[in-house]
Amino acid sequence: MNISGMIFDLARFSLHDGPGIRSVIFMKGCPLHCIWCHNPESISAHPEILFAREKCINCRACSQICPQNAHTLSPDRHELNRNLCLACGKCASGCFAGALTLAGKRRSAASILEEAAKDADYYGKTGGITLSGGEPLAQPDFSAALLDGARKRSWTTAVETCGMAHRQVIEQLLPLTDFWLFDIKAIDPLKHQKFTGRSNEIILENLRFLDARNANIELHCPLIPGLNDSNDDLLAIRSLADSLRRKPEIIIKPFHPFGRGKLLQLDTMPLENAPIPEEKDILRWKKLLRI
Amino acid sequence: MKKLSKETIDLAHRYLTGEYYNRLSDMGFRVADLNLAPDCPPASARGKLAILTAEKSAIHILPEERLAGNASNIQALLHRVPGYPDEEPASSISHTTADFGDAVSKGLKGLAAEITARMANDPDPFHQDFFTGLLCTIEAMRIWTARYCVRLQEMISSAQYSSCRENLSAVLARLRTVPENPPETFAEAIQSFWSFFEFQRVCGNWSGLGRFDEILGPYLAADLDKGLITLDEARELIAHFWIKGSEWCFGLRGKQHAAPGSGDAQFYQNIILGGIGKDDQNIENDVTFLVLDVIEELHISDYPVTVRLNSRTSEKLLKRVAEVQLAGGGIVSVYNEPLIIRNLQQMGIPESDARSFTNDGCWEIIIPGQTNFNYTPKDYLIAFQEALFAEKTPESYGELYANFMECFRKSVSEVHQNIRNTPLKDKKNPGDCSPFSPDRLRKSDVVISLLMPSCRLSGCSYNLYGTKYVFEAIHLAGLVDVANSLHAIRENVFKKQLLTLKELVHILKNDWQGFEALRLRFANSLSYYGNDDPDADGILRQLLADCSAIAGKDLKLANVFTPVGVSTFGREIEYAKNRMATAFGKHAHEFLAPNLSPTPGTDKSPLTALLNSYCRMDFSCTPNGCPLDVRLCAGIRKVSGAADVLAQLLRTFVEKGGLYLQIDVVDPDILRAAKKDPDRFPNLVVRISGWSARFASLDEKWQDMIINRTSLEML
Repeated sequence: MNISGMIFDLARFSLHDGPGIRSVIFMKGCPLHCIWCHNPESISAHPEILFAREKCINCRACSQICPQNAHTLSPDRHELNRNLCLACGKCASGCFAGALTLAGKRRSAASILEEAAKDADYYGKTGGITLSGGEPLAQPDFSAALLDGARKRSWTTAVETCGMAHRQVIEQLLPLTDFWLFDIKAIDPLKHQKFTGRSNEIILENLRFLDARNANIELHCPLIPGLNDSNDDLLAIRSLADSLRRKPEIIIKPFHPFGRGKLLQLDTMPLENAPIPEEKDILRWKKLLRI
Repeated sequence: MKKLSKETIDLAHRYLTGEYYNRLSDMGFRVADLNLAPDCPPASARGKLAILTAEKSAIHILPEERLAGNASNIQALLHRVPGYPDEEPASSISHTTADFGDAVSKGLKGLAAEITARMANDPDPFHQDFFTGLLCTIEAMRIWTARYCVRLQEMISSAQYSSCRENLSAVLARLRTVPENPPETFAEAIQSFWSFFEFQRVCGNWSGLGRFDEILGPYLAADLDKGLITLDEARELIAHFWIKGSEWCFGLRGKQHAAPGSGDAQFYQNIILGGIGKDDQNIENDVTFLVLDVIEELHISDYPVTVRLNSRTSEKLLKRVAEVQLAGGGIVSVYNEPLIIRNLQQMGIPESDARSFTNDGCWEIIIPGQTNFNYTPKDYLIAFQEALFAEKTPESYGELYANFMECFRKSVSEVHQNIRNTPLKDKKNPGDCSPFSPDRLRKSDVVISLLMPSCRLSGCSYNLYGTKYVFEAIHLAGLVDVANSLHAIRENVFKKQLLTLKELVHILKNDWQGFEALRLRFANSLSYYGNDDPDADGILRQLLADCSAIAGKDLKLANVFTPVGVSTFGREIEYAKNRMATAFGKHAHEFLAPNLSPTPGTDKSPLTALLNSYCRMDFSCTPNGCPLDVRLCAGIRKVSGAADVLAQLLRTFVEKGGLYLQIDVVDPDILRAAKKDPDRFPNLVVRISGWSARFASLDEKWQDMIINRTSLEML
């Protein structure tokens, strides 16, 4: 199996991305640009350097190793010139203080399956691999190779997707996927456009297509107070779920600010003033979504 | 889910808040009160002291208590035999498990008959004296029981409420049958078990309890068949067994008696559940599950419970164990039963004895009722420091490894010599008492010995090695840190040649001062033990095998086994002061690896990686035990199907050859809050190692170690 793809992480012993004990492969590259994204390093399809300034001990190893001279260090300041940086990762491999890390690595499907196999004994009947991201459907052949490899090893397979993909990609992965963890960010197309950069017609069509094919679907709904959690937003999600043949479970994903630090490490401004959900928000969401 | 009655919950609260601890006192009786003749034989004298103890110890019983018997002597809490003056104390017995099943099934009457018959056929004066001491102990238990009967009768006469009268009458009726006779019902059996267990505590001993469900399960099954009891009633009785076992918990006010800082409920009273019996039958029964119900609801940390897992363990039990583990506190841990039985057989223990294994109270594996157990822990990171910081710095990895093994050999030979020097360890006949000193004879036990079939058989006390087996376990501490050091040096010094070993030694002697970037490189450029890295794990596997082969060698002492184990038991605290900076980036005097768990801060991979690393070891070389401590973040409780996930982990752990796993579910923020404000969290329980403790009862150093360990693991 020579197919390779771009991933930014492989997380073992995940308990939150499908049933049982799972290994989650985080793909790099996403067609949406959600303003609240908690994995901002997943959006670009290309490798990037994350720079945690507070961890720098000014050892200068990066500046000595960088072929592009992208790192400039003075006694009290360390600058990374992203215009010069090719994200080759050499600086990250020499940064033992953990200030520089490379997000994005091309890996063969075979090597990923080999790594996931380290936990195969723990998967039991329920566990397996989950493709997440980023967007797994943006790397269809790579995803198919991973899902197929997992199936051959008797692991269960799950795909966590934003649903923005060509229909033939969905058709390609459908027979290889046991669980679809399908993101619904907003039902109102204008709102969807505003917060993710794309409208949601294709996404909803794909969702209905999967449902019509009897796919096992969970609706994963990232909810951000004040942005996509109005009563109308929530009732529309409930209504969508009710309109589907298999009445999928709705899983709420309350906004958390963990992506903020990573955005700063990418020299990108995070979403300002995004409120962290309070208990009353979550109770209201659950009531309106009837979960 | 609440299953226990409100009265039982209230009773638990009274015990756990120290009400009974506050009643503990020195009863004032002394061995001198016996006015023994100078030529009174020693065991007979101890038997008479047991009688005095039975006569003089305070007795308490509350109207709502369903079991009778309490241990009220403060000396017992201090691991001393009551009756000996402070200036000449006699140590009592712990770190072993008596055979309570045997005692319960025979009753005092059966035991007396057995001993009397034995006396008739053994004229040896030492043995005659020992048997006399045992018969005195039986008499003592009769006196002690009779006092409760009188007290109960008085309470029944004056009881205002019929419910109290009924309960006390039932307790009295049971006490009139047991422990004198073999029990006929579950209620009698659990009272008899409690009487035997509690009387040895009254006399200062801290035996483990052993296989609770194997002992009591058949009585409950028979009663259920006859419709004599319901599961709810049985659960209440078991809950009372747990509540009364916590009578020495001294609340937050009683720290003046806490000699160690390691918790207020650490009396080595482990209980074993599940597994197979002597005839290979499955032990799992209703009692197994009722015990787990009680632990989940009462959250009493002493007794620690260990469940024996094998391929026949039901999914139902695995899931129930997982559910109780998720409640936190680390009270329930698991053994890999087939592996342990195989290890014992390889040591030379017959299969029928091996199948009955329990532990000494924490996790060190022994044969109950037949083992005199002792262990010698030592920090072998110090031996590695000797090799590394020697005058002549090794020039190759091979030379360093060989030098360490030489230092290890020297260090462990001191332990061997101490074992050889212990009197009578090489006796050929377990009944031979003649070479003991008069003082040792005078202080030899007859109470635990009554509960040890092998002592009754040999005619010789537990202290005088009358047991069938003597285990002088050798515990290796620090090997994880030695392995991590070797891995760092092999990769960074000899393979990558970042610097010479001489230069590194100089830097380590100065605690990495001025070399922070290099320290981070050594700390972070490699995966150490616990991260599923075959190279790092391979070094530890090799070390464990090589060191165990030396440490566990046959000392040619008859009946003496030297099983190897790996332990620190929290000694990381005392070891830290002698530990210098390590090659894997730790500063001098840091708390390093507990037991066979990774060094805090080096385990950067998820739990499955840690389990894989641990399971790479060859545990056939550590038959005494080799614990892995795992802490899970409290957030796991919110995961859908968390108990199924944990059950799957437990199953896989055993299938992959893991030996012993203790899982705690903790939240470091809660621990910090509990340190700051102990009154808010009086019953927050954490796993230490082999036992759990109420966090508030730990001293500050122990609390800091637990918080530090937990916080690093959560990163």
